[in-house]
Amino acid sequence: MNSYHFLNDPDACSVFAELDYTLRRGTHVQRQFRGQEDVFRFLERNFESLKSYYKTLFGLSLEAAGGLDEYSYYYLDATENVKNRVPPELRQSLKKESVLIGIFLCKIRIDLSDVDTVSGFKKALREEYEAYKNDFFRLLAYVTTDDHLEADEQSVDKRIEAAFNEFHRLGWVYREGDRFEIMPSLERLRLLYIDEINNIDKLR
Amino acid sequence: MFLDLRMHPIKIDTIEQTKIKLNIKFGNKNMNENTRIEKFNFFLELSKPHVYESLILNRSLTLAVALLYDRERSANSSDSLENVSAFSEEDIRDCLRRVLPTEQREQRERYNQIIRDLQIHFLWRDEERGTYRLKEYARDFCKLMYNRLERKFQPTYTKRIFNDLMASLDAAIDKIDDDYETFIYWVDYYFEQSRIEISNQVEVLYNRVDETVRKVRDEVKPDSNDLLLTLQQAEQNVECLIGDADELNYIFRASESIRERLDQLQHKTNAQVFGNRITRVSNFLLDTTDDLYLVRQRIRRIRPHIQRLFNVRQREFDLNTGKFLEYLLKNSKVVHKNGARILELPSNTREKYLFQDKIAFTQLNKQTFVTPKPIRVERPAISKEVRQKQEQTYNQQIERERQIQLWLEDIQSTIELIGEFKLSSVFFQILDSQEDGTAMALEVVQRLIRRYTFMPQHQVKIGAIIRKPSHPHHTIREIIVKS
Repeated sequence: MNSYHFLNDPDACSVFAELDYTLRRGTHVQRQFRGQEDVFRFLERNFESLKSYYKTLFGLSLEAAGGLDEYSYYYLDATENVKNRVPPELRQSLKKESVLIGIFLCKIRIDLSDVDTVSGFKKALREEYEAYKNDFFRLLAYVTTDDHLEADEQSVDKRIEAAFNEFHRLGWVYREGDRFEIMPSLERLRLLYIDEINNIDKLR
Repeated sequence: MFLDLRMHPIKIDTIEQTKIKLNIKFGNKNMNENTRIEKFNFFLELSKPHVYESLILNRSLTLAVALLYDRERSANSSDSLENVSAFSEEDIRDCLRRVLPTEQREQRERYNQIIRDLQIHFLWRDEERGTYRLKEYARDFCKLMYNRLERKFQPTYTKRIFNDLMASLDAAIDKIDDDYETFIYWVDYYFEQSRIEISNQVEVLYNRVDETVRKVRDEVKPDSNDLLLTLQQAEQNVECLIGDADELNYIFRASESIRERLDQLQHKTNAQVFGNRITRVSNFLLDTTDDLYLVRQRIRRIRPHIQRLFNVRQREFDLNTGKFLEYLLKNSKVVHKNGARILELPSNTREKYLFQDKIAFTQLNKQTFVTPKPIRVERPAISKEVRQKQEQTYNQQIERERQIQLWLEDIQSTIELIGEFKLSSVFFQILDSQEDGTAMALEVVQRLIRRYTFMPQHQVKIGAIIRKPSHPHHTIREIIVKS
């Protein structure tokens, strides 16, 4: 007799493996992400027993965030307070370039921009947010002047592509070709830096 | 008139029996309470020693039974054909160990007693198979708690209840002229069943509103970093409640519709035959709609309050996000490390980790482990003539070498004996000894010169040209080897 009731769910055989790989890859699970619907519903139904499973056997924390239904998402976390049996080298930090690009993505979402393509995002950076442009080129293409060559543009574009691929893998955006859709779990990026954001006036 | 009792014996009852018989016949309510057929007294029964404890379990035993119930539920929802609603005694002990850990030496005795006690109302024992099953009382006991805890507001389900009620009421009203008891049946059966579920749904909604308000009140602290999260969640909860509250419109309309039908029924027929049933149903529906109205009003009151709090914090958070982005852009830098350029964020932003498990499957090529198939070796066909010629040539070479060695040994012996030797003599000797001996003669002379040139105890002198008439085409310088 154990508390892992999810094993008795009728969909366990067909869904659990995918759920486990998805969560372990660091992917965030939400209803809106195409292809994750079954995994999301299974998580919703069996959240408590899955939480117990990951905590007891792996020292990992299965988190639910975002509130109810429409905005909710799930992910695995290895927090400092949880006894972590997974070796430290399996923790990965988000690429710093992706942090910059991700926070910028949050910014343009806050500004209610209707950007929904990666090319549109690149264009927004160059045209609508010119104040940030030089800093982005300095940090992503290592350009120290305001004069940007074609090669510099390509470097920046490459970083943006890589960042969006990473966000898709994390489940923060759903990307199909050039189009993307921001997922509720993108909010996690801001929540990771919530201390810094809330205390920004002290940091500056 | 006298009865001869010897001829007509009659049975004489006791006084008590007589009184009971009279009571049954005439229903005399003034009879002594004690002589009535005994009435069931719930309170007294429940208060009896051990009765309460056998029916209402303590926390640990309730949890143990809940574990068994859970297992039975899970098994019933799976496709397993096993008879998993039966438990072994060990299963029950496992549950008890989980909720009521006991020292080893006392465990057996204590658990045995518990299992015996549970058999009064909670467990059936199959003596033949040595297994146990939950009794219906245990299932009802657990189901009540399960439904209470698992309750969700389900507008679709509630709508269906009202739809079914209206449909069954219409069917009953249609038949009422022929058989008024159909309406009584509708109230006593359909309505009563639905009433409990409708009340539950209203209560669930009310509790959710309470829970949302409580969370906002208890967890919202001005300086908390979680404030935004809490407010975000509360705001989203309220949005969902608003959605649910909007679903209530249907319920209001359905209740109104049922009450109209009942009103018409009351005026149309001799409603006294229904007792107070119409009033009872109408009052319940009225109370329900009043409660739902209050819930909706409450949601509408708290929503702007939470939204206001959330929006203020959200606006601040959004504004700060923009400032944070600018801060990152201005204070990050590119540094050189190990020959590469890397981006570094400002030092006062802590590195954030995301959990990512690197699952790697190494795919091995089967070819690595499979012994290669033997290669078919094609041996070239060798012709007999070629083979013979090769053998002949080989034999000739062997013979030639043998002869050269004989000459060399002979010459060496002569040099050792005499201390001197003229190579020209052996040269012409070899020419004389065989037809076409030029090559052999030259080989012998060449080897002799090579050998003795490098020997320190010998000298090799080269003299004049020597000719011999028998070999007019050959000349050789006189080469003298001296030891």
